[in-house]
Amino acid sequence: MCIAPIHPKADTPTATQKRLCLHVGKKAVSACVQIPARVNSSLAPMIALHGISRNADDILHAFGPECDRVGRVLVVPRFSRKHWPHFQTIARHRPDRALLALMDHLRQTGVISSTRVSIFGYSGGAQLAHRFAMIYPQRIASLHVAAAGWYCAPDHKQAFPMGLGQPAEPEGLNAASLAKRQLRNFLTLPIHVYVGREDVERDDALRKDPSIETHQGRSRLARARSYAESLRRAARARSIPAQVEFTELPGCAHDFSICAKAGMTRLVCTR
Amino acid sequence: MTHLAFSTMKWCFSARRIDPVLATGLKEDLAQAAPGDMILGRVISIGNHTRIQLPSGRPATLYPGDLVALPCGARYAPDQFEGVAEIDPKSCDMLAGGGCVGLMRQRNERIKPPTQIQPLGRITGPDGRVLNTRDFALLERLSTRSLPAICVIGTSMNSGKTTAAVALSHGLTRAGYRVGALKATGTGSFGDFNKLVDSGAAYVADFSDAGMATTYLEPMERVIGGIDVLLAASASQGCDIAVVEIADGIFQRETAALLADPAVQARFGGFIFACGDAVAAAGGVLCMAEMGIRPMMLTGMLSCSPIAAAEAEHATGVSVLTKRQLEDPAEANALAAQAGVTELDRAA
Repeated sequence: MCIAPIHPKADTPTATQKRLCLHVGKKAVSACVQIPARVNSSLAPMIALHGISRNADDILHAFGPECDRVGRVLVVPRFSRKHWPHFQTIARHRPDRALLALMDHLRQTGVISSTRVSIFGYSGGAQLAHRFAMIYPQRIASLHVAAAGWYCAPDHKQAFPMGLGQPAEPEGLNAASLAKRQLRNFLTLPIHVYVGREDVERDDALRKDPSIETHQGRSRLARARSYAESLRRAARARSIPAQVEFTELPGCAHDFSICAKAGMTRLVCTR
Repeated sequence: MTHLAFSTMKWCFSARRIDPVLATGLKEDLAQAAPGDMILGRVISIGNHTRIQLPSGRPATLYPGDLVALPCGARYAPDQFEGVAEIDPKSCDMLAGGGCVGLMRQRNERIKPPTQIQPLGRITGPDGRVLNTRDFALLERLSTRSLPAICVIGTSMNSGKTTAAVALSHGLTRAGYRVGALKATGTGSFGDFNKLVDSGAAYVADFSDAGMATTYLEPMERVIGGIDVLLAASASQGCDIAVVEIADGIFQRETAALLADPAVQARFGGFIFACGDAVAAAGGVLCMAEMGIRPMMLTGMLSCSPIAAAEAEHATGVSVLTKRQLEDPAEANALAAQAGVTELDRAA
């Protein structure tokens, strides 16, 4: 573990930012931690996860001022390509351990006091965010998933990783079984699904498996709608009052910075 | 006997809740000794137990002539002794290193005879009453909050129960829970206690915190009351979940009685069964089915062998988890959910 202070950015003059690096087994994860000048202890710390472009600096730049304004501790991890080529899923690779290690370290060092965090993820980060919340709902104050390419639906009929049915050949951790046992707790969480209204392009990064297209739709917009509805349906089937909010961001395609400017980060930080 | 003399003798771990400065005198009516009474003894000869476990968590080497303070108690340990809570004024037996003196009835062939103790008297406090572990127990009903709990049981002593309880306590702690790690029955020993502390559990206690040096041959209502005291203490300490180990095998007197009691079963959201091989797993699962218990999973020495684990899963339909899997926060977290930890509990 190493901690190195970095200079406050011009647009977050009152907050303190620190960079840390934690070793998790044979891998390492780095993170930038921003501590606001006045911490609002009623707000859970925010962990904001980058997508497959690993644009952690963009995430920090977009969330920093908002978190500082409301007094929220912000943690922006960075999963390196070298150590975490597939950070979006929890099975053979264990990015969940990296997130738990970060949370525990920040508690042990007194940076945060809550055991729960609000977790945001964009695109590939949204995939990790919702899978983490499905396995560790008790560590989540609220879940914010934005523009994921596809989702793990609370549906036992679809095989993992698209649903919670047993995969033909489970790899590593049996995440389907674990998430299934947490499903009731997961469905009680406040869950916010965001997507750009123009996020309909079928770009190279979008998975186009026929099974995903059949169950979730052909674009990120359709898949986000489908996911929000599947959450509500699963909660209804279990008589759980769902706290699912679906937000379309007008004029936004698949671009984090544009979504942020369209008000997504402000919405996330104040919810 | 001065306070200083009492304070400098070797007090044992199972009497850790008693402050030696309270010891002021002796009663020589040893025939009146009852379970939990503190006995002042002089080591006659060194046998199986060459050391005594101190309240500080350190083992102290014993020498002939040492003065020791131990509670009178019974012992049930298939790998060592069976003994009863009785004191022969001429000589009695050190039945456990954590502190338990009584009379040995039988012993495992592979171990030495017990360390011999010459009892000098029952230790009395400032009011002239005999000091008894019962009077130093945690207060009853510290909390009325119901705590989700996972119970760890096994085929026998050394089947892997403590390893499983420690691993699960660690996994749950890593998953973010405040864990109460409890040992509900057995004979006082710091080995298991210290392992539970090292697991990171937020609160660790055993039956000696409920006033019993050992639970063997104690009345069942007292043993059950002890479990309730420990669970309530865990809840008072802000724990989210308890991991409760019940000692010995499922055929042992107190363990069998506890498991057969529906009211005791209802205190636990799930059971984990530790065993050594697939046949033991199959037999244990069948026996537990007769009591109305279906374990959530199997573990123990069995889990070290993938072949044995596969046999057990095939024979019982119950999954096997290794120590490493129990330590995994994701696996431990799922067991917590299965045992009944809900968002509502956490919000309470």
